Amino acid sequence: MKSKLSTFLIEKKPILKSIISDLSKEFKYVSILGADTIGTSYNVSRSNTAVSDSRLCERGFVARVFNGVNYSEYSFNKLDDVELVKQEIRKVASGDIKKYQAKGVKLMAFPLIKDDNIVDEFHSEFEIDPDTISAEDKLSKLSEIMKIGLSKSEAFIDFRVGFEEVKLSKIFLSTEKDLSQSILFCVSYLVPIAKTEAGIKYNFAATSGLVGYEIMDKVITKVDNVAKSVVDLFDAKQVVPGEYDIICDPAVSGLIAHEAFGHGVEMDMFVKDRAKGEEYINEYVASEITNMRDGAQSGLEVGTYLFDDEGTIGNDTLVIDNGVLKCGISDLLSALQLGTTPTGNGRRESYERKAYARMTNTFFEAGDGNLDDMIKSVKKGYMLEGFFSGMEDPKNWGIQCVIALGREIIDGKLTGNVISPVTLTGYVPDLLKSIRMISNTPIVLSGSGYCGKGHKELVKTSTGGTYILAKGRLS
Amino acid sequence: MKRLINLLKNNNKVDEWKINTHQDHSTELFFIKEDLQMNRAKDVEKISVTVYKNLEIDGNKFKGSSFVVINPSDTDKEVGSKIDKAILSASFVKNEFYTLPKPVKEKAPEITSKFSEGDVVDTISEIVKELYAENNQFGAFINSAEFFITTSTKRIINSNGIDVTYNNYSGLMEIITEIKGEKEATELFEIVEFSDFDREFIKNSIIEQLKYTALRGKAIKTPKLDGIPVIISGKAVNEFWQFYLVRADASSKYQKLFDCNVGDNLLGEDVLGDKLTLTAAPYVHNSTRNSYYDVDGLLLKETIIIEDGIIKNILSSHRYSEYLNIKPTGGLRNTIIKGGQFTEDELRKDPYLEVVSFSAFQMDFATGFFGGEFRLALYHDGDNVIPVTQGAVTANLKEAQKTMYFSKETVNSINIVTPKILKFEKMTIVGEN
Repeated sequence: MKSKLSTFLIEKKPILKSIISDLSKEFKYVSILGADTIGTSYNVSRSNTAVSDSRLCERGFVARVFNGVNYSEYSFNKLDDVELVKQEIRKVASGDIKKYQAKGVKLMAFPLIKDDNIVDEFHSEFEIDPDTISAEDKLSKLSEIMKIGLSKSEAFIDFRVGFEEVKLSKIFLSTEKDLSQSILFCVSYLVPIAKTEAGIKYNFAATSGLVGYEIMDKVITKVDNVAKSVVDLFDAKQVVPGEYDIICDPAVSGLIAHEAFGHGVEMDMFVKDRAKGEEYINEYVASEITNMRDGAQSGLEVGTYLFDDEGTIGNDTLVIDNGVLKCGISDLLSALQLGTTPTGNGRRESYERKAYARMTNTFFEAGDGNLDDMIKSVKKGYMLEGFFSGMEDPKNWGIQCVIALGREIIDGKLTGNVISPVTLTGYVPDLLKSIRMISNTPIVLSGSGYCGKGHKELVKTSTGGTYILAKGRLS
Repeated sequence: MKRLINLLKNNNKVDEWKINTHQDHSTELFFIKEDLQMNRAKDVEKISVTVYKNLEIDGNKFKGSSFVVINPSDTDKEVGSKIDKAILSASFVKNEFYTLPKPVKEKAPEITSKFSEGDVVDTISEIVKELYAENNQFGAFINSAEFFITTSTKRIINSNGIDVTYNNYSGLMEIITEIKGEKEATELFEIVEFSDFDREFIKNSIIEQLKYTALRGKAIKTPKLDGIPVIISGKAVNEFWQFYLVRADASSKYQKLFDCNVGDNLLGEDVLGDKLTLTAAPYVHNSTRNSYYDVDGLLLKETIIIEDGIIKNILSSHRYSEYLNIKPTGGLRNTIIKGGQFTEDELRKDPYLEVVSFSAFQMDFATGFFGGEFRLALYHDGDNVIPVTQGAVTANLKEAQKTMYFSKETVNSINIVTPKILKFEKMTIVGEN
């Protein structure tokens, strides 16, 4: 089945085109992005059940206008008075700009956007339409999974289960472009919570994809593993801070890719002179076996789309090629400023926010290593599994990854000992250049969470890869 | 709004309902160095509806609810369909029964801000001017900055007759400061939030950030440092109080995450350091979270939650207060922490390590583990102050609170009035091996 574009957006297209047509007589570039996202989130826990609209729900528009020197934007969600909308756009792009200039503000000059003439559309595919499953059935399924989860340990005080279905529709219109896309994705979470003498212990497992309700078949298969991971935390010890051999599972290797050379090559940072990566294009930044990709077309996950929030067609960008940093990922305005080709990475948290250069689907490519050989090669180290958060430092290439747990490896064997909490920190090139094996297992992508820029502007991205063997500083 | 209320009232499947609306206007400026890269504005109206279904099964009462977003552009037919779908979902939700709050006669004080006076374009321009007037100090400069001023009018209506409206004001600056070094440039990142135009606050924020940026430019890798106290200052201090708030929270208690009661000592008996006194408040100066009503429309009053480490009141929404049979405090969103017994100067006794900027400070409220990698810390060795970087500090608050000291001096930071610095006698410091 194919996802259908919002009827609302289809109906509003003629009005939006008339706004663009009228304003184009005054401004050399006018575009409008329309968004209509619907979705529902279902959550069950031992003491509460909740059904609510997804936090991603939105319906509104953002107009971008060339004000003569650079670009002004106006976000709105009412179209009942078209003249008022045009008046407000004129105010932002003309009246306000004159005021700022009168107050001594200097405008940064940008070239004019030259749109190619493109008419295209994209509809994601899925097997089971979540709309055809009743809320009762969905809640029953989640409750059933919760009960199975709770039965895994007497120490579990809760086993939260969530399911979220999101259907986003977007249109992008300018004098040259007429693009539309409709994408359905689903995400599910399992969160076992245990109470032991040592306190509260928890972990989570997520499942996501550009899929429909069929995702629930995968969710149920993850109950045992996530339950076991929390039971393993009961006797977890604190790590002795130091540098160790580390084997990162696909989730952790994805987080490293994301924080290290995802944020590190967002090219709006190049414009601001905030990214060290700019100086290292065509230089070695990782070991020679390392390849890394990002792109709306690099994988089929929550970061997949036809066009970004500036109307640029999405791409498949090889960021690191055999250890060499090849290129960054770019939004449209940064590419204009840098004289480069935009890569279709201009994304907004919502129609209410500015577009920035953002990641989409980011991962290390598979290698030719064998996971067993990796473990055997470690004299003293840890297998790192799952994560809670990460933080980038594009200017100074620091990295911080908060890992769910580490499994001790001594003399090539897993000992059964577990460390938690564990934080991986270090200098990005040191970490990436230490990668000495990458597994030949299938690439696993996960789009369970949100990616921020700094500490705001959350967008859905996916990360992942395979297993990597490297050296890292744990604390 | 009348249209929506009528649709809810006329739907006989809906037992009770709540509407939350907000109308936001924002003005935004984005600078690279000293030049304006983009200006933006936003006018949006947001409406959400929660519908409730009361159920009785085998003599036991339950309440189901479902939350749905209504768009201003939705037709009556679309709204009706969304409500029907939501109430159907709510009928499958069987949570323990609770009631919705009822209106009270008392009116909340009005919240005011200079952001509501005159043209916001003039106000944001003044803020930009104040910030850039302090640029280029200590060898550091502003790399880029973003400015947001948002004014919101919020309204809460429910089927019990609550109908309250209030204003909320929010200012935000994202500031990246940089210093060029001999080998490489370094930067610091900060988000500054406020709800009124306070020139001194803006001036002091940028001066401090430029000063710390210059120090980061001189920072060396953190050496091995053992057995010295750690002082934490800056934004990270704000993160500690959630550890205590969650333990004095009704929903945590109901979910059996923590089983704390009024009268319990959250710090334990063998505390050598300062004892925590925490008040939850509807209003503190310059907070972006100021509101005299919570999301249910409950009128909020300043309430002491923890005094000298002892729980005095459980923080509770209307729903969870009924579950636990306690008085509701409502969802208070500001926190006031009483200063400690020693002044900042008295706590700063060499040697110590002061962490002023973390990469991303972690505070696990469940386990108590806190810390993380820092971008800048100052090592006071007794003779000199040495800026250090690429190190980390970690501890567990359950242990560390025994020797935790708060400065007597407090600062306003986002939605918290907090001691300016915290001192821990024992933390693990990760430096060079």
